[in-house]
Amino acid sequence: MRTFFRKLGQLVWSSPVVLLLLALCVAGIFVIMSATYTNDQLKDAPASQLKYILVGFAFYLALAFTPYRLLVQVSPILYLITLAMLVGVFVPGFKHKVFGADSWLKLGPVILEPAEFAKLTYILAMAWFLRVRESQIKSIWTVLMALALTVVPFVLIKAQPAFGTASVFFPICFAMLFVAGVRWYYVVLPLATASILTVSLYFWVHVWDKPIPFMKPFQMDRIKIFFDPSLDPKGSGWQITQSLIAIGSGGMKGKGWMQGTQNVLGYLPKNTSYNDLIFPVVGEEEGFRGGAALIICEGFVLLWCLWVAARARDKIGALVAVGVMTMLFTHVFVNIGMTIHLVPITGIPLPFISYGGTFLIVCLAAMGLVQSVWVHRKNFERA
Amino acid sequence: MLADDFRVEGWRLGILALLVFAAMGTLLNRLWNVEIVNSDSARQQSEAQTTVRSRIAPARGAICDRYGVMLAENRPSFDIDFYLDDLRRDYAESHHGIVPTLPLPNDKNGHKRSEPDIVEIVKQSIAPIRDMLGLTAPLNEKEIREHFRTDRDLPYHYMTDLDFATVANFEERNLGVTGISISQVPARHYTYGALAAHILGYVGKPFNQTEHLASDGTPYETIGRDGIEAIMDERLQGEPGSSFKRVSSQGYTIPDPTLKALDIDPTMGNTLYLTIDARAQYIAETAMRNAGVGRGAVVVMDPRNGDVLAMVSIPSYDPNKFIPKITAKDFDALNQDPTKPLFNRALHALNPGSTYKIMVALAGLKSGNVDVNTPFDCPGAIQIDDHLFHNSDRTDAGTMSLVHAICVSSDVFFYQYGIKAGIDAIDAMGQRAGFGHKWGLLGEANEDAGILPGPEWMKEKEDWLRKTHNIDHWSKAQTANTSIGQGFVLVTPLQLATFLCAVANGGTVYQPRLYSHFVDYNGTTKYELPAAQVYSTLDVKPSDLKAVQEGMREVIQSDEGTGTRAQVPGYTMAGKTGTAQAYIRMDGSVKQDLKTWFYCYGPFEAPRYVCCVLVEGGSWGGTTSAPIAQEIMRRLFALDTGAVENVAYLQPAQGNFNGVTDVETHLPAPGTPGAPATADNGSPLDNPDAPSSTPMPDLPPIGNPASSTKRAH
Repeated sequence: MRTFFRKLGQLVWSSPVVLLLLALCVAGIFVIMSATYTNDQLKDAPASQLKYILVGFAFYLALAFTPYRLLVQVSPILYLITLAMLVGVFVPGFKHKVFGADSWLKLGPVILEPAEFAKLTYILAMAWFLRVRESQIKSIWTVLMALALTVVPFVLIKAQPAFGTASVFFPICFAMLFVAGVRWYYVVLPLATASILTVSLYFWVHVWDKPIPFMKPFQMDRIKIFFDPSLDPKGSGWQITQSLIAIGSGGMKGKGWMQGTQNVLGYLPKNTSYNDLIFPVVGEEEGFRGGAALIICEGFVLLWCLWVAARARDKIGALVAVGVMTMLFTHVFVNIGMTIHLVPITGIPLPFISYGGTFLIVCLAAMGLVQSVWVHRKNFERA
Repeated sequence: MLADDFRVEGWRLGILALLVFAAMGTLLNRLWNVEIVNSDSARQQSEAQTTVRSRIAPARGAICDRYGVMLAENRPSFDIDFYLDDLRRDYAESHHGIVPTLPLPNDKNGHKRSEPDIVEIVKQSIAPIRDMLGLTAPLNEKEIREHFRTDRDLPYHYMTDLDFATVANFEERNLGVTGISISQVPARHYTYGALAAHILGYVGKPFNQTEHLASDGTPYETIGRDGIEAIMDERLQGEPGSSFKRVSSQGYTIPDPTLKALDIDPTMGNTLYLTIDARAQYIAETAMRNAGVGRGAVVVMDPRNGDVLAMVSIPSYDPNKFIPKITAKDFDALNQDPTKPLFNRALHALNPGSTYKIMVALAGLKSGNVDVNTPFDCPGAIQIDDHLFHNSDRTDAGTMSLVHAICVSSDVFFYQYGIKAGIDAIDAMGQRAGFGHKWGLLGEANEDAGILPGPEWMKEKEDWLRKTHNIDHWSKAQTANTSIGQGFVLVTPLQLATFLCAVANGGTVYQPRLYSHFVDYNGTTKYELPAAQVYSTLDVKPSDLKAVQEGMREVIQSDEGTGTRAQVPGYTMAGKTGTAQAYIRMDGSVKQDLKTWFYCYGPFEAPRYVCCVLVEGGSWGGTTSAPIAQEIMRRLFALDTGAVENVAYLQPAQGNFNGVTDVETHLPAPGTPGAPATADNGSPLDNPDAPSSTPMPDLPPIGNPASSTKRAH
């Protein structure tokens, strides 16, 4: 019982972060209200989101008080269960198709997205694996085996198809490998190669307008349209074009809550403006001030994760915190980046803001893990 | 258990922290660029795609008479508009997204294409209200499909100018079918029907989407098609206004009060003030109708400044028939009517007959070749060149001088007088008087210049004259013929009235004026046309002019005069009769169609009015036209003493060919040498050079309805 109160004391110590998370989630409800109030089919969305937040914080607290090393120890089993669920979404009887993708699993009364839970169990499993490989951490095999662990869920999720969600696993993998202490160039070289390829693609396709061998014309078009959405403003360039107009027309102060014409009049597609394209709603209605505040808040959460990693009692804790940080970072950067034309449009939500039960619960649970690392950190154990 | 004290290397976390900072910085920087730097263009794009501008039609400027009596104004017209895209969407929503389609030609890749069958959708959409409201106007399928393809955001006007019963029915039952609404637009209304129809003209829809665009690049609802409406169209048009609505990405419009500030009210066009006096116009119109005139014209002017007070052409039409759109049947009827109701006879040139003698008299006096007292022997007929020229009554009148010759309108006198004066003097005076010249009151296109014939003119028309008349030089006989207003001479009623103004006012030829100014919607006067613009002077000695005036006074006031029927008790007037021989082809034969003139001014001592009456198919200027002029002058004088003239809505004057008489079959066809011409009271039948009533090739014979066909829509 004394332990519990000590843990509670640590939690209170980090209460600004808890309040920040709460504030983000509540802000999210308001944005979702604005994005859905003209849509009768979604009029329950804000209330549902509130329920998810409550469930999410329940997970948050539960995990915060659970010693993370316990979870890491059972993580191989959790990982395997997750893989089974990821296969399950393709099995008739369990599968539950939404928007043409097999992302949902029906287990009795509960419908959930295993891909989101996979992110959590994957982070735990990676921490376990890297701890196990501690003695051979500099070996190339460590990297290759970690990649193998990553590729399996990636392939299964991409097959749903949910490329956006699937692609989150690689950044987590690289960040955890890097922090675990692999040779730096095992991580930097692939990233550098990818960056050089992207830049080359920009010049080759967009600036010089050259074709890529073995690529089909429609694929070429997609690349071209990413670099210049005005090539197809009504078609595949529609979302980015409208997103840029929405954010741009917000200006410094924004048009006011529920006053964004792009949002209310449906130029931001109604079926994504409350989840994946929620940032333009913020940008349009709350202006640069609101958008920047959101970015800074999300950034603060990320930095806190890193802070926790630095103060972690052990390597496992640090790895878990870094894994969670990277997962959230990828979502924040890609989600906001795609709406302001930094990265291609991909279907991934914005942590704590976007509508969606599974993802919100997973994000809060992940923060619960980080909280657990904080609560169980070295100083506390010594005390 | 994995419990251990392994720690991660701090620098690796540091690099991640830097990455997070860099990434957040990148996002913030990019957000700044998108939201602050490019804000204006994004805002414009946003406004452009979320607002739709609807045009508010401007009202056309009114046209009123010199005292502000409205002759053409605007009334509300109710239209049923279809918003085709709304109809389609509504149909789709109530039919589970299924709409009837029509196949289109395959695209270039051979894929099948189709478009919504909008006509079918419209038919089904209006079916419930169609019977209730009696909307029987057939759907123009081609027009609807074309409108749907090109302007589906703009309303399609299905029916225009609904009656009030239908409008009330529609509103009362609140037949709120999405995409069908009633809109109110200004429509032209001519207050007094056919009154001054030929001056006002009419308006019509634009022929296409590019004709005469307003300042916002959209075509005006109506465009002036004839008369003053046409030539002053630009100044009469108003400025369209606009109102803005929000439009969703699905195309639904959403009211947004914040856009109210952007709305622009339409401004009405300038009000045009004519010089016409509606009462004078009404007097002239009714005088012609009372006399049963089937074809003719009246021009009333103010000799003190050249203002046109009335200008009538008979037969006429009701310009309201053209609003909002004349039916094909009505338009064909107007165009195929052989009496040509659309044609403005006040601006059409004809032989002036003896009215021309006044100008010839002044020409002779000015030339100095003759004077007021120069006597001429006036037998029943005289020999000129190889031809015998008869006086109209073929009796010997003895010797007479100018004043008496005007009074009795002696042809034999004026044959000799004209020859003595010389054709050059006649032409010079004619030019001063404005004959052979278009006054351009209603645009040059619809006005004849007339002909001031002479050696010069003959040279210009040499080829044509040789071919049609077999003459190649100017002869004394032609001068003689010209002197009595026959032969090649052609003048318009307006020219004669303008000339008579100069005679009445002591010799100043004023530029005739039909409008004085415009007043814009603020009440500011614009585009003023000053009164009493001098065109030229007759430049004859006052004593000579007095003599001519005296002759004209005797025409009316003396018992011997030819125009005694124009006498108005209590007033002294001066005038001159004229009867020009003319022929038309009708029903395959040549018939006589006399042009009988009378023009006068009064009161003699201080002239205020000049009146010129032309009747086609009359019998004699003194008996047909003088009484009409008498009625007009009498009622005009009465106005000045306080009588009230109640101007009322006028039905169109019907045309006829009464007074056209058969002629002996041995007469040569008009337009050939030897065709007959008459002087005032008769006809020098052996006159060699008299042309028919249609001497110019561009004046086609009656019976060809295309001749004065005007476009109307």
